[in-house]
Amino acid sequence: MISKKGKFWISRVLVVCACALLVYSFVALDITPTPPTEEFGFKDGNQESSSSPRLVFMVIDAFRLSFLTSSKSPMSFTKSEITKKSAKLFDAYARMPTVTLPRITAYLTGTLPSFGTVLTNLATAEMKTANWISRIQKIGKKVHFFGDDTWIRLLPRSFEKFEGVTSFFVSDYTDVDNNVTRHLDTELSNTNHSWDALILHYLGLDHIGHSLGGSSSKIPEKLKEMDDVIGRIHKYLKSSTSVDQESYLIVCGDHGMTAAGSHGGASPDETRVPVVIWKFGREEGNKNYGNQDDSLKQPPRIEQIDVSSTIFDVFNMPIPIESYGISLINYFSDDEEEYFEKQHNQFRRIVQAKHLAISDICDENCDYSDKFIKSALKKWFLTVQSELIGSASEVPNKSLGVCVFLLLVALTLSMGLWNLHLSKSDFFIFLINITYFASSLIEEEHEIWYYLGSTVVAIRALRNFKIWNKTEVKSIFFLAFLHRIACSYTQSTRRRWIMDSSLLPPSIFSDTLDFQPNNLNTILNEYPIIVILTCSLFWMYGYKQSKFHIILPMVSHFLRLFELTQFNEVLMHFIRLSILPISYSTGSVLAGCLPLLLAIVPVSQILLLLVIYNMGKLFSKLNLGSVEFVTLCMSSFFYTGNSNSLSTLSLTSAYVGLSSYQPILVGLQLMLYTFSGPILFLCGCNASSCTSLLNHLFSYRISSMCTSLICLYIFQNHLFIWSVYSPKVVYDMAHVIFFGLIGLL
Amino acid sequence: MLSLPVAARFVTLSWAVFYILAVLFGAPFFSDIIATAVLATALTAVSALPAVFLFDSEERAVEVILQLFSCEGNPTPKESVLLFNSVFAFLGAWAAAAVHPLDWDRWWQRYPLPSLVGCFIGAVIGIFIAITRIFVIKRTAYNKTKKR
Ligand SMILES: [Zn+2]
Repeated sequence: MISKKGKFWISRVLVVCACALLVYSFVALDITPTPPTEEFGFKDGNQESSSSPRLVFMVIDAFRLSFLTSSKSPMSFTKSEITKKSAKLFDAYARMPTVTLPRITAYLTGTLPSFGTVLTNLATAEMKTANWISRIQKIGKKVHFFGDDTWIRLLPRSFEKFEGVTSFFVSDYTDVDNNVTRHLDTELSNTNHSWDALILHYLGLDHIGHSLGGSSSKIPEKLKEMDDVIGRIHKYLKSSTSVDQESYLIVCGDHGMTAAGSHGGASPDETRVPVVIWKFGREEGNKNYGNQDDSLKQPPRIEQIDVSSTIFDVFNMPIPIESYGISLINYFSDDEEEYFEKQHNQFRRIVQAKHLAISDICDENCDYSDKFIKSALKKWFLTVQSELIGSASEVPNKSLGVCVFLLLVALTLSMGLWNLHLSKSDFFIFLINITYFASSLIEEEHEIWYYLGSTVVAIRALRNFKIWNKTEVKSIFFLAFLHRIACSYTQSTRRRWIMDSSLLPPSIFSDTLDFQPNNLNTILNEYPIIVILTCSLFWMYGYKQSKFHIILPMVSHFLRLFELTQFNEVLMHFIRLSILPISYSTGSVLAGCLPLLLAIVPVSQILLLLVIYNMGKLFSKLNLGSVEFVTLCMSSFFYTGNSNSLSTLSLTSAYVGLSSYQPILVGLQLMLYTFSGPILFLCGCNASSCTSLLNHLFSYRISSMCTSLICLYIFQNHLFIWSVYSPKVVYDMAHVIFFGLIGLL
Repeated sequence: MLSLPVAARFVTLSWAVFYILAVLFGAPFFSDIIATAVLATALTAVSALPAVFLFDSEERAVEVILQLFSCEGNPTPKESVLLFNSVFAFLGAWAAAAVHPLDWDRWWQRYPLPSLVGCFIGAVIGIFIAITRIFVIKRTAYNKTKKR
C-alpha cells in the first residue's frame, strides 16, 4: 500500500502530468508539418512597380461591430464613407478563441488555429503556415509594420521597417497608440513611396477595455482618434493613388469587447467585428456594393479568413491550398467570371485534397457567366467553407484518453486520503458533475453553486431545529444572508442580465412594484472614497490579525484614486515583498497574500471580500462538513464575477501597480484575483484546520476535470465545443492546479 | 380550527417566512416582487392554510412542526397527510427551479411558474403518498389483530 504522504504527492504529480499532456497535445495540433507549398509558377512580370497595388491594413484591437454601427458611435468619417458607398462594410465573424493571436492568424493565413492557441497566446512562435505577408515579401514587396509586437514575433524577418509596442501592458492606452501614429508622418508623405503594404495594429481600445471597463468615457475618445487616423490614411491614399494604380485600405477588428470591457468568450459582442474596405485608383467606379439602402445596419456577414483570400487576390497571388477563405474581391472588381473561376478552382482543390464528401456544382466546363450557376456557386462556397471550418476543429482524442486515465488514478489516490468515518452524503458532491453535460448549465454554473449553497445551509438549519441553540441558529441565518448578498454582488454582469430582454420570455406577473437599482458592484464603484474608508473600518473590525495588513492596501487604493502612480508602485512593491514575512508570522501563506489581494481588487469588491471572509469564519464556527465546504468554496469562486468563459478573466487587477510587463507578477496577480473568493473563504475558516476538507475539494476538482474531458470527447462535433466545453476545460485545469497547490501550503 | 386572530397571525407569519426563504434561495429582492409574493402565497395555501383548519391549538401546531424536523413523535393520520403534503410541496418548488438555468427560453421557464407548478404537483404527490401510507399501516394493523 502507498503511504498517505505518497498518495498526497503522487495524486498531485499525476494531475500536473495530465495538464501538461493536455496543453502539449492541443498545441501540437497547430505545429503539424505544413505540406510543402509549391510556388505555382507565379510571376510578377506583368506588373510595373508603379502600378502594383498598395495596401494599408489597419487592425484596431477589440473593435466590435457596434463601436462602428451604433448611432452613438463617434466615428463619423468612416460611417459617412460607408453610407456614401465609398467604402464597404462587412460583418466578420471572429471564431473562438476571441483573443488576438489566433484572430491575427486567421487574417494572415486564411486558416483557423485550434483552441490551443489560447494557451500559447502569450508565447508566440514564428508562423509556419503560408500567409500573405511572407508571400508578398518574397516577391520583393516592402512591408512596413507598426503596432502590437505579436506580429513581429510571428513574422520576424518579413518587415522592412517596424516598431513593436507591447500588447500585455494594459494600463497604457495613450502612448501605445501614439507610438504607432507618429510613424504616419513619414509613412504617409507623398515623396516617400517606400512601402507596398503598411500594417498598423492599434492596441489602445483593447487596453482601455481591460483597464477601465467597457463603458469608460475614454472609449468614444479613442474611437474618434481612430476615425481621425483612418481619415488621414484615406486622404493620403486618395491623393497619392494614380489612375493606373490600385490602393486598398482595410480597417478591421481582431475580436470584440464585452460590456465589461473584456473578451475571450463567444457572445455576439465579442465575435462580431467590422471589416471596412476602401478601394482607390483604377476601376474605382466598378464596385458591386449591392444596392442595399442600409449598408451600415445590415452589412454582409463574412468570416475573418475571407479577408486573407481577398488580400491574396489584391496582390494577384495564388491562394495557398491551406486557406479556405472566400475572397471578397468580387465587391471591388467587375470581372465576376474570373472571380468565380478562381474561387471554384481553389475550393475544388481543397475538396479533393481533404476528400470531403461534397459534390461539385459543375465538373469541367462551367459557364461562369450563368446567373444560376453563380448563385449556386455562392451557396456551394459557403457549404464547403463551413465544412472545412468544422473539420478544422480537431480534438486530440488519444491524449484525452490518457489524461482521463491519469486523472482517474489521481482521483482514487486522493480519495484514499479521505477520513475513514465517511457519511454517504460526502459522495453527493460528485453528482454535480452530471450538470457538465449540458452546455447551458456550464454557462450558468454559478447559479447551480449558489442554489446548492442556499440549500446546504437550509438543510443545516433544519437539522439544527431540534437542538434550537439560539446562537447557532443566528450564525446559520447570518451565513445564509451573507451568501445571498454575495450571490447578487456581480449579478448584472451575467450573460442573462446583459442579454436583450426581448429574447427572454416575458414576465408573467406585473412588475409595477419593482424598482431596478444597479447591483452593489456598480453602486459602490461610484463613491470610491467613502467606500474605501467604510470598508477599511469594517475590515479593521472584522479582521483579527494585525491591522497593518489592512491599512497598507487601503493606502494603496487611495494613492491610485489620486493618481499618485509612482508612490503606489513603490507601496505595491513593498506589499508584494511583505507576503513572505506575513506568511511566516501568521503561519499561513493565504493570510500572507491577503494584503496584496486587497490592494489589487477593484474598490467595489473590498466589501465582498469581507463578506466572503466572514462566511469562512461562520463556516468554521458552525463546524460544517465537506459537502458544505465544497459548495460554499465553489460559490465563493463565482461571487467575484467569474464564470466558465474566458472573457470574465479580469486583467485590470493583474496590472495594478506595475509600470511594465512583468509576466510572473502579472500571472501571480491574475491568479490571486481570479481565486480571490476561495482564498478569502479559506483565510476565514483557517485553511490549516481544514486539510481534510481541502482533500475533498481536490478530489472533486479532479473528478470535475475528468468529466469535462469526457464531455470534450463526446461533444467534439457540438456547436458549442469551442465556446463552452473547451474554456470549461481550461478553467478546470486552473482549478485543479490551484486547489492542488493550496493543499501544499 | 384555530381562533381567527391566531389563524391570521399564523398565516401571515408563515407567508413572511416563505417569502424570505424564496429570497434566500435566490429570488430577486428588488424585482419580481409580485412573482415572489404569489409563490409565497401558493406555499402558504398548501401548507399553512390547511393547518389552520386542522389544528385546535397553536401549541399543537408548533409541536408537530418541530417533531417533523427531529423525525420523531407520532402525528395523527390527518396531521401526517398535512405534513407529507407540505414537505413534498416544498421539495417540488425547490426541485422545479432546476429548469431556470437551461437556455430553452420558453415562457414556462419564467420565474415563478416552474416553482408554482412544482409546489402543486409536489402537494398532490405528498397527499397521495400519505394516504397510501395510512392505508398500508391500517392494513398491517388489521392483519395483526386478525392473526391474534
Ligand atoms: Zn485584449
